[in-house]
Amino acid sequence: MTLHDDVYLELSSVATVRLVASLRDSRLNFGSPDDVRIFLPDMHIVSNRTRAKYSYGTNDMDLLADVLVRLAGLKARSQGRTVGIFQVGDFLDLWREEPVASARVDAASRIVMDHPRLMNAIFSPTLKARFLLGNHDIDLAWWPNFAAWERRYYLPPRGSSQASGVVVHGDMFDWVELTPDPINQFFVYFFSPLFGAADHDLNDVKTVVNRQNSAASFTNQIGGTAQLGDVFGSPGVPDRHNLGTHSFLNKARDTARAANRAYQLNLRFMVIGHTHHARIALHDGGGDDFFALIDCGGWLEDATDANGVHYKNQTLAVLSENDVRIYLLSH
Amino acid sequence: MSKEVAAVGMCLALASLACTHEPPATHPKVDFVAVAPADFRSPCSGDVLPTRESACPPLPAPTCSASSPVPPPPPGRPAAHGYSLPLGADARATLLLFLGAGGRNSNLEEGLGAQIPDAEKRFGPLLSEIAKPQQFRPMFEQGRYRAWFPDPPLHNVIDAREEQTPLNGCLPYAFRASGFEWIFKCDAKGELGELIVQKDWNAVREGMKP
Repeated sequence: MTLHDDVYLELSSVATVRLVASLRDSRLNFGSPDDVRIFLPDMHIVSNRTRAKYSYGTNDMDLLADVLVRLAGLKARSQGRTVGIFQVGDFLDLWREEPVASARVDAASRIVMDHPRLMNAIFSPTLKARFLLGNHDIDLAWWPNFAAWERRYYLPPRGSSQASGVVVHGDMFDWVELTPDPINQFFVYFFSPLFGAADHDLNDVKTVVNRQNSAASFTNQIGGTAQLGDVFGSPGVPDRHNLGTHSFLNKARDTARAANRAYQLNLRFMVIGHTHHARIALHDGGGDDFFALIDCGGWLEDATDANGVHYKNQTLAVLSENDVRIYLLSH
Repeated sequence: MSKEVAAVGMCLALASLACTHEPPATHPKVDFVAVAPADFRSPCSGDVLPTRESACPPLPAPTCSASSPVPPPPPGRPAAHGYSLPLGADARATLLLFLGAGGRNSNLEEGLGAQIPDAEKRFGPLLSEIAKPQQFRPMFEQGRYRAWFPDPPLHNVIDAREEQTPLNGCLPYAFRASGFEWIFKCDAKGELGELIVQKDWNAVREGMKP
């Protein structure tokens, strides 16, 4: 049994599991059979009171809690192996929850109190989930309880100190309209391995996020319907399935190259959320000219497959043994 | 203006100055380093820290150096761990792993790997320097460590593991640099004989000030 098998079994014990996309390639450089990373994308959880104001919201929170409980169980049984759980940002939607910026941190408590089962599952010390700050919950950085939340996590293969992947929320690639080039401006903030002067950019990042959010309307949707392509439910996983395009691919690849040069990394893939549209996009020029962008989707709004069948948008990504898969979960 | 009025005016002005809540511009900033009891656990307290050879738990906890005069914290009580100075080879290796993991033991315990990929390059020379037998206090006073610790030291160290601050006349030295706090504490002989390194959460918070 591989760790992929273990994860699939756990997921399928509480959900119908469909494969959205997959990529198996040794150039991912994440080949250990004893190491699996699971990426849970945007959930945008709000309080019950706020949820009633919107036509859309976090999908099946009971299913999500079930999934988290199963993953915690897997982790507890996986002594000597690595089972890393990452929430990729926008766990809470403080932007929609509280229009007054100074009150957003307090609003987080309101949201947490409304969903005790899910919160217990995701904050479980057994699960030990890692959290990233997203553009809808960046205000949490100002609260000591959430000070440990990160802007990115490096993903070195087991036994190596040199990361071959990185997970970020991904909103920085959405800042294209803004000048000066915000990715360059905040490059150190996002990718420098050390805290230091870069931390002082957090206020500026928040300013950019606020400006970007203010320009968007979240009244009826955030990401809209996710087009998932051909999904299927059998456990057989092809080496390459449903590889698509992504408007962030080139920007992510360029950024990863710059990070490799600046910080002696070896990034070959990047995991993001933010768009809510699960997909894997690949740049493959042969040999080392390889970069994969793994967008693990989201847990709100809906999704449709190549045949026009609608699903609740509920996806996650699993990486182990140079094999990354995105699953769609349904009850 | 009569002398009486001038005197009253002067008194009011002085009283106003005395009552102001704002310290004068030259008032030194009161700062301190708190030894956090969480997220930095002793390899001697039963928690598992991997060895240099493998970052994969579970592994037996490294053996505490026999020469260590610093007693391990009570079992089951999370505490920062002090390393005897000068650093031994085991302590250097463990510290390097901890630094490479971004200052989080949990990253090590779960085998999530390095967050600072070039920790050896960044911190190795400093750790090697600390591994040399020396009197640290005069070294700090002579500025020998200024290349690594450019900011002035702090002496106000609040260690959550202690019942009270030891009143033995020995000032600890704490430095904030590269996202970590380096705390040189006094041993029983009144020398800077113990080193604690922990993530500098203050650096994170500093970055959030409006």
